Amino acid sequence: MSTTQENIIEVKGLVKKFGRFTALNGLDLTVRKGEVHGFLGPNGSGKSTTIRILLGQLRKNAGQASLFGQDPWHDAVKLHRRLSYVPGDVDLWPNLTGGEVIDLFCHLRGGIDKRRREQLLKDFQLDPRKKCRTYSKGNRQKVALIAALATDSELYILDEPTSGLDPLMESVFQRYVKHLKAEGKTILLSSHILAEVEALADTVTIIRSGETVEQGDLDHLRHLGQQAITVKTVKKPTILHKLTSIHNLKATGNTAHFTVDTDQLDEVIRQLSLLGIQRLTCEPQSLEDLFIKHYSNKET
Amino acid sequence: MNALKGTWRLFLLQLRLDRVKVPLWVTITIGIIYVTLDQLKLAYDSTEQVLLYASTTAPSIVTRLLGGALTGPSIGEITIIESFLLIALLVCLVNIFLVVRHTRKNEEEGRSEIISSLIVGRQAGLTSTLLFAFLLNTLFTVGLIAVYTMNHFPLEGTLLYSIATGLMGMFFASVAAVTAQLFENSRSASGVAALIFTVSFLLRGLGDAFGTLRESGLGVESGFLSYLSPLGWVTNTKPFSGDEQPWLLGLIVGGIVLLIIGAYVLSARRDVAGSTFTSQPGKSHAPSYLLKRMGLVWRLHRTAFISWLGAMVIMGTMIGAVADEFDELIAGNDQMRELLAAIGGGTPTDIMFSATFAISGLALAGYGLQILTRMQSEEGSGRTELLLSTPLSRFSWILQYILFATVSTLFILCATGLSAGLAYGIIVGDIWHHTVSLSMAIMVHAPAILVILGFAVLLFGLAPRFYVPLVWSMLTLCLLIYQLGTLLDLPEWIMNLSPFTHTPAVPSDAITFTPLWIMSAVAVGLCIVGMAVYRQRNLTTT
Repeated sequence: MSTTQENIIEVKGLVKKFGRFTALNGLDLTVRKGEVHGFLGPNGSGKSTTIRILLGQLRKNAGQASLFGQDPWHDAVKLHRRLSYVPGDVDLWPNLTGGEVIDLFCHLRGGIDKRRREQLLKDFQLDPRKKCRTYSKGNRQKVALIAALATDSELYILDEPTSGLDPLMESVFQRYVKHLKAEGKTILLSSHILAEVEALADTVTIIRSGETVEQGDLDHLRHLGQQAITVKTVKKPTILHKLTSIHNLKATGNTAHFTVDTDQLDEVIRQLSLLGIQRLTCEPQSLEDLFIKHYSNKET
Repeated sequence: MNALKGTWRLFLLQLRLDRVKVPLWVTITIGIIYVTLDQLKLAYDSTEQVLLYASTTAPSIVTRLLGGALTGPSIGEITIIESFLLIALLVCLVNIFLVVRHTRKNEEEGRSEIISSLIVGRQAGLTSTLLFAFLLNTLFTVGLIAVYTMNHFPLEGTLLYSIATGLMGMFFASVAAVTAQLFENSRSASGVAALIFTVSFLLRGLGDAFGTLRESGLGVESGFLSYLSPLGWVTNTKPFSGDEQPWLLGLIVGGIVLLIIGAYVLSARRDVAGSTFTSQPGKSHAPSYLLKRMGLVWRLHRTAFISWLGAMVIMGTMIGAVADEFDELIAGNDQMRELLAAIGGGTPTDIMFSATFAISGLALAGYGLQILTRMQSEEGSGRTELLLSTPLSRFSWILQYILFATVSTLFILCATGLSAGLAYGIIVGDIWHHTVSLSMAIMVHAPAILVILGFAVLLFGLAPRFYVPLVWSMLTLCLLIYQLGTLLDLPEWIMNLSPFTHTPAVPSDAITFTPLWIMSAVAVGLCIVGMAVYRQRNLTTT
């Protein structure tokens, strides 16, 4: 978490409106050099809109957005020399073959690593001679992925890149991302697949309705977050109702489920021990819990 | 009847999907015909005038080629000659697009996959689509009967003509039902159906152009080529000639039945989304031209470019080849000579070249727009987004489209004039002179085409969501102004809306350069403003 590291993406208070609809309402996003950054949010929360602003395709209404310290709208072409982008839903030219599309994009991005291209085709099991109209969604996505991964860029912006891939291909994808990370590349990974983000990301930003609700180091977030506790006590755990550090309490008889802020854990356990602990499980929250916490709590 | 289960529900769904398009189309088409009939009735209200029309039109090879052979001197026949090109285009193309949209396009985009997993029979989609086409053509037929009856045309002829026209629509709906089974993507399916339409039109045109003039000079007997074409079957029913041939309706119905049976047989044998002709594996690496500037734009439009070039060169050659005959035909007709002298200067051949070049200009504006409207589907599908995420600038991207659209349109325009001049020169001698002068003459239409394309660029910048319908309405308006403007006696300011109104009719009139310079400057200005606006706007995706 050193502040000396260069910020590749810096977004502060970003606002984007489409007519009366506010798509982004003061969004923050910071991605540092060399990290894999998970970008999470439900459908329609503004992930793709943010990415489109970063690619200079949409104009922001307010706030700041910078890429490599430059303006993504004005310096679009210059910035695009340094990045590769994979969209979530890829619609390719129906009468071009996959191989032609890969070559076209790599060429536009400034060159292709031929050995890497062949290796990627083999690993992702894609037949490059087929016309794009005959590819399934997953295969079209592979074309865009291979075109991005076969290019040597500093930044990779991946918008739900694996939503059409099977688990086998998913693991091939993860291997390549880890490889890029080892090479010191920066990756913005927008995803629905929390397991994928947990496996790959160093830091995450969680957004909801165009606002950032959680941001930071993944491990840190998990530990700073809450612990899920299930406890069975000798005495009835009525005292728990009085503790303000406890959330989501569900008690039946002598068994209680609840979550507790990690920094309050010590105090809560001390209280519990007074009741006589018979059984106790304590787990740090998974990303999924974190995710659900933000979307169910605030929606109601 | 398991294969048909769900037909009714699909039919209702299709009605709902097209609830605006279809009524709008029927209303506009019937409206245009109504106004045309009304004006023609006024213009040719005496026997004398009808006879004058017949004597001048029957020998005209251009009219025979485009409008059909005048089968006899009656006001009913005049209406057919004057409106057949427009009606045939509107009716046949709308049927083709309707059928392909509700069959192959659904399969291509994966909607059929969901539908066929429901309690829906294998043939339900095809059946409901054909029912829909039947409904459309019935509505059109009823509308046609209504407007002809309102204008007091003989009932028998009205019924024969309206039913024949409705059946013509159904025939091309059936053609599209077959091509939709044969080809894997909707573009090829509608493209091949449209090609069949074009061939039918050409066959009828040639058959009529080389038909024999009756001794009276007031009518034409179509040649046998015309009887090979479904469009020829329609015109040769001769509804208002007193010499009707209703038996030709049987031929059209027979054709429809055979085509529909064919469509069902093909459809029953194939997989959902499968087809008779599947695409072959292509190249695993991009050819080097694709990676050059303009490479992708060329690749995406080369089929359209080559087809248009071929079609226009063939048309140019044909016109050039028959032009000489035109002079001879007129030479023996004093009345016609007087009439032409009244219209304006130039020899009959020059007048004919002027008219065909004007039509070519309008048609090629359509070709240019076909390329420029592609910009919207590229953007809507997210392909532009992906391209612009690379170091390709918006400026460079749109400039490639504008350059390709203008240069290739002007190239085909010039090739049309060149082939007409070459063919004419070979027949009358002095090849070099005619080739050069006619190639130059046709280029007077370049500025008007450029204005249309410039407007399209501006609209693309300003209103991307309404861009495609706006652009085509603009061209349709120009076509209507050209075709019906003088006939309907439209006010001058409406006539002036079309850039083609400001184009001098070369070679029959002298060339005036001022409007051409102004229009060229306007076109450049529109493009520059359009590009500037485009660079400043959000990209849209659907």
